[in-house]
Amino acid sequence: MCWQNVSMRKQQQKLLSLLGSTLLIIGGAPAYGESDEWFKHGQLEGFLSQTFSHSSDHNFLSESDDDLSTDLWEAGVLGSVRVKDDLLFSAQVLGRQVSQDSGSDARVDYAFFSLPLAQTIDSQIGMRVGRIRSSFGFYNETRDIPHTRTGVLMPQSTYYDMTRNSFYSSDGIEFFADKAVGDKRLSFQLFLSRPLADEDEVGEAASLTPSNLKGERNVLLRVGYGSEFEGFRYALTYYKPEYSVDLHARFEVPGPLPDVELNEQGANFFSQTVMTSIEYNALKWALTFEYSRHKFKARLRNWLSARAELDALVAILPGSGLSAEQQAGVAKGVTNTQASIDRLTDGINEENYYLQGLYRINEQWEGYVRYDATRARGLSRTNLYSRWVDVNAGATYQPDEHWLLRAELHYIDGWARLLKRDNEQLGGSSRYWTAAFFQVAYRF
Amino acid sequence: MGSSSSNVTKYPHTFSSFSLWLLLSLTLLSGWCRGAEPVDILVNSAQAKEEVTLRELRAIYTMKQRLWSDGETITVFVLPEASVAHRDFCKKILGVFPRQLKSVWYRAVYTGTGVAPIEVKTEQELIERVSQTKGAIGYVLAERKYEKTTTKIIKLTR
Repeated sequence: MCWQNVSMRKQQQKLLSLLGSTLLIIGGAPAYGESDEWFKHGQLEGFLSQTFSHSSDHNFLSESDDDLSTDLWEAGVLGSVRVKDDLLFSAQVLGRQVSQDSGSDARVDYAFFSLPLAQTIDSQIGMRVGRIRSSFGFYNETRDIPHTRTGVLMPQSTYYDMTRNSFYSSDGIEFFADKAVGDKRLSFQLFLSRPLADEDEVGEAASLTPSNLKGERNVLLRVGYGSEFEGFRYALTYYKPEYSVDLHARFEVPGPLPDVELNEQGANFFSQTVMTSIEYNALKWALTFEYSRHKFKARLRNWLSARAELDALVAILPGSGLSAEQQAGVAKGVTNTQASIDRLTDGINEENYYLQGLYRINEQWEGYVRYDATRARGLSRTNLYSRWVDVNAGATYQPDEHWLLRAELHYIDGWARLLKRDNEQLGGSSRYWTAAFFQVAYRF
Repeated sequence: MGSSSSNVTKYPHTFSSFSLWLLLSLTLLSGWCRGAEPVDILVNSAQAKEEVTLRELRAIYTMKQRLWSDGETITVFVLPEASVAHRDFCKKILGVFPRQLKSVWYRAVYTGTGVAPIEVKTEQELIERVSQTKGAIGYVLAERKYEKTTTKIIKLTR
């Protein structure tokens, strides 16, 4: 069992001091009343889930390839308490395992103070300080508890589990406001934070081995309009976390020729998402469509000179004494390396969307059907590393408030949302494959 | 059929039948009207409010509206998720399944935008709590008979 990596632990310490000092400031303020006015309306809840997974090919968020895996599990404890008057404190600690290779994690999912700044009968402005969930799209905030998800897995095109920890929450300050407009509600959130750096996950996004990963800054802006009741609801989200990282890559050349190295200290990279969300709700059914454009781009100061060295290397191959075959191998390797790092510095653009139909059969049963796809723009449609089309359907049975049973089937074309750390050898493997999940969850 | 009735004019006899019919219809009609809403919405008597719109009820039960118009904090009471009253309240009045409402409460609590409603075990307890809490709101099944307390039923206008 491996615990959080170093960068996560450091960030957690910073978070604890931020929260601790906030509490000290509040505690130091003149006492307004009896001590029993503190810590009222507290609640503590928890949940557990165990998922069984199987896939015809590839390890899908677990060691599921041709096997029945029990890798996926979650255990969480969450609490909320009214510290004083309107000041609320909420926190959740989550233990979670995604795959045997990535080990299990125990992390503070969120821990923040929330304070309304102004309230009227139909509107509110407030702020939150601490580790706060990123509220992008309709469902990022509620993806943590199985009972508030629609399926075992979130639509992977949009709410990817590959980098769930990095994207789920971050440390900072958020301003929120909402106002009733007729039957609907207009809501607004601006979240400024320092993103959490999970080294395992960043390795998924960029295939260069990162070290000294630091979250730099993060901005999330979300505007929503609608209600939980019948009719349409909409949301528009802009989300951009930025990181800095040290990179070291080495292009190894056989024989007497020198290796080419790329060393970056404090290279900057960012992920930028613009998402549009639309949903129609009726009592018995709902139709959801979320579409996002995602860009991942790195700024590497030393790449151009390293690139030029690789060009120079190809130029001297004829006189190098290497066999024709070896020369061809090196030349191909250089071309591939240049192409993949060029992509990183030009910006990898993805189009992600899903369309989901949900049917609420009765108080206990619910079913869904979903078309979930991601496409890298500027790349061939048949590049399987950047392709993902997942048609899935599932059903949920909730006999009471506590228990939940869920089953779903996936039919997938492509590999884009597979964890690289679990699927080392993809080349030559199946393009089309299937996966099945069965989950048991308990909430108390 | 007796000899006395044969002397009564037709008009008074018809009139009394008519009034009886009218009274019966009105009773049935009012019973039907009350039965159209499966639950009664209750508030603490100190509240001046006499009626509530569906829009307001939805805002209150999703913890979006936290204050009455007089500035009093709204304290929301609910019955257990498995109870008939709660299921009818959710589906037939608010228009959502109980689990959807629960997700909304979860979101409100754990984003700090609201407090969870207070769940009580029985309708009797709900009535007592609403009586004792200024600004409280709750619901009970429509046919319930209960002692007069410091609660009042408010009309729902859709």
